[in-house]
Amino acid sequence: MSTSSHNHRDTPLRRFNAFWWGLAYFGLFGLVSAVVVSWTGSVPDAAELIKNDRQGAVDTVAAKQAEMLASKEVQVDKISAALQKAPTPSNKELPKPVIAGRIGDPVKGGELFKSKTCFTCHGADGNSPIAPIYPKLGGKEATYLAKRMLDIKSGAYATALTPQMKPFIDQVSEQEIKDIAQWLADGSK
Amino acid sequence: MAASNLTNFFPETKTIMSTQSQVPNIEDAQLRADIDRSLRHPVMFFFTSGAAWLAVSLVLGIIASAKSHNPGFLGEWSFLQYGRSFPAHINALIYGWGAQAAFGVLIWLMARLCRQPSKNAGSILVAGHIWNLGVMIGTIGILAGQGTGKHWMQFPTFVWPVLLAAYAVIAIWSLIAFRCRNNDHTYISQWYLLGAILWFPWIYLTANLYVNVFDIHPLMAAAINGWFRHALIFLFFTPIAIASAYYIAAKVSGRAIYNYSYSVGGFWALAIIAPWAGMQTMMGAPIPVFLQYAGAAATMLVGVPLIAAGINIIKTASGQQHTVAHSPSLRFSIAGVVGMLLLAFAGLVLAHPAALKYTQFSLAGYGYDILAIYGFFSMCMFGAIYFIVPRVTRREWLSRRLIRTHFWFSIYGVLFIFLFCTLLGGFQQGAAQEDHTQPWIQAVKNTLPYSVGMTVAWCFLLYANFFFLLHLALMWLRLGRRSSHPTLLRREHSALGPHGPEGDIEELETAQV
Repeated sequence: MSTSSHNHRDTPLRRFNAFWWGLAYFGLFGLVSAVVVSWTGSVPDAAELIKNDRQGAVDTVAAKQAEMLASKEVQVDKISAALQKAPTPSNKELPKPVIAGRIGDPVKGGELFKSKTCFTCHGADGNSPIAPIYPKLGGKEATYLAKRMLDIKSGAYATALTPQMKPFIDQVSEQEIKDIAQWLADGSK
Repeated sequence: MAASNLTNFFPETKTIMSTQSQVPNIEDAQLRADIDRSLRHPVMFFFTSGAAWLAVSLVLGIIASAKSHNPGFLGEWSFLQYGRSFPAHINALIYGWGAQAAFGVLIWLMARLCRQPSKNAGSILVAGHIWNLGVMIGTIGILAGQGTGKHWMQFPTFVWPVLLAAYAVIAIWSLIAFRCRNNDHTYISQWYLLGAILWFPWIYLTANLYVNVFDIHPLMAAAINGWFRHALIFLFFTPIAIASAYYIAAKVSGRAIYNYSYSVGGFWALAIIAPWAGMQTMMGAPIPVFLQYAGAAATMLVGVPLIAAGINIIKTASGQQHTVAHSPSLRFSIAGVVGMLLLAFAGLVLAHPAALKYTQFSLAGYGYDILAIYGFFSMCMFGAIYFIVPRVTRREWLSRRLIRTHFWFSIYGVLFIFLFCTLLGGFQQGAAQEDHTQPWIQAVKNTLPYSVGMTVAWCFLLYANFFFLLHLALMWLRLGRRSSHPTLLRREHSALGPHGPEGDIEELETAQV
């Protein structure tokens, strides 16, 4: 190994340094990781975490319920106090309540049901059709009935039965359809 | 690498390039022989025991693969059930074969490139035995049911500190050799070797601490495990394989590296990109989303340094088809470099976030690992072993037929794995698993032909490596040819060839003296 003796770099000190720096480097990342983990802390036991979570939820629900109960009591007290000092009823006639969603005049509708000959198939009350496959109409929702009739008129709704309905409904205007629908919805009486 | 430097290294090159360098440098030849002699015991130990572990791993791989389509195979022996034979197979492959082949190449190549005989062969050999003992206890532990179940870390937990300590004793001397190197030029292979020496303890220690020691969130531990696997491939196996391929390509072709700047750029690109890869294995899991996408991006981008090195190496050897075909070292190395380019392509296809849906939980990940470890890394290691062993034993390889068998069956096997497992099987299985209108068993049935293909592939590889182990063991026993001619993969040794008339190497040298 005579040639290696020419190497000016190969000194015992350099070898010694390289050895210890190398070993220190090999362990460095372990040390860094250990420091990082001990700083950030480890994860607590999962069962403990779940238990704490559940206890927290139970506590929150209990607090909310207590709050609601307290406010309810206050409201009930307020209402009963208000009722107790309610004024005596007057004789003034109250205006007829306007129910949201009314689409037509049921009185006109009842007359139209007869004059437009609807009753010949659907029965006088709209609920006693002459054939079992014809629909019963009384008591159904007004907008639904109106939409069906309008769709039959426009042709948007077509089944095996609608061709029989078509010549009759063509004689009825849109407002009249709504009146009839309202009459049927109100109980067809 | 200057041409004159190169010829000084390599006697075959010297004679090929005799027009450039007429006077053989006796002192240099003496130095090379000193270096080879100083490391012959640890290097041969690493290669031979590595090859033995490779054979063990392949047998276990066949068993595991066969059990995946024939669960009744080998009956009810609990120690060979899939859950044990598969991890034993992959861990023996990585720590038994991969790491030991890497160590052998690392210490020899570093000593050669630093032009310094090693003074610490004894410690390296002892540490090598300790490493082997660790791998053996670990593998038996897995087969006995004591595996940890953490991918690539299945050895019982007490094994990893032993392996790390053994690694430190093996690798520290190469670090010292570099610090005390006997020349001023730093070869590109040295960059890569140095990178591998310094990255391995970082990856191995950090990952094992977080996964096995610290009490961190288990999801993060699984993500770190994914990072560990990719880092081990890209930051340990890859740089060693590239270092060896650069060295062999330049040596055997007798040329300087095609472009030194590319090679250094490739090294730094690998150093910057590769550490981010791996956490795409947890795509969709409740870990920070940027980690998953950074992992996918890095696994795709790592193709850049791989392609840079691959093109550079192929360009270095280009135009020398005969040398590539006839030199076992160069042939294996170039095949390994092609494997590296395939790996770059596979990374691009498999790690794309849109493809992960199909590849994340299928055969594809396993196929990718095997492509990296066998198709790329091991082929480069075989190339290096075919180069190094005749130099340290001073005997030539016995049979070109054994080498050819090793080469072709390795190619068949790894191509099977690439096609059936990495690409077709992976996507087929993934797509079948995604189809929620079909019962799960349908996905299993769709994968069946690919599983059978995998078993066949492992049989090819076992066949190849049985002969490799046999050949290497004969070389270890110094039963190689006592010839002054290298074993090349062609029919005849021409007396008019660059090596002169053939004769007994030791008689020739005695005659010269």
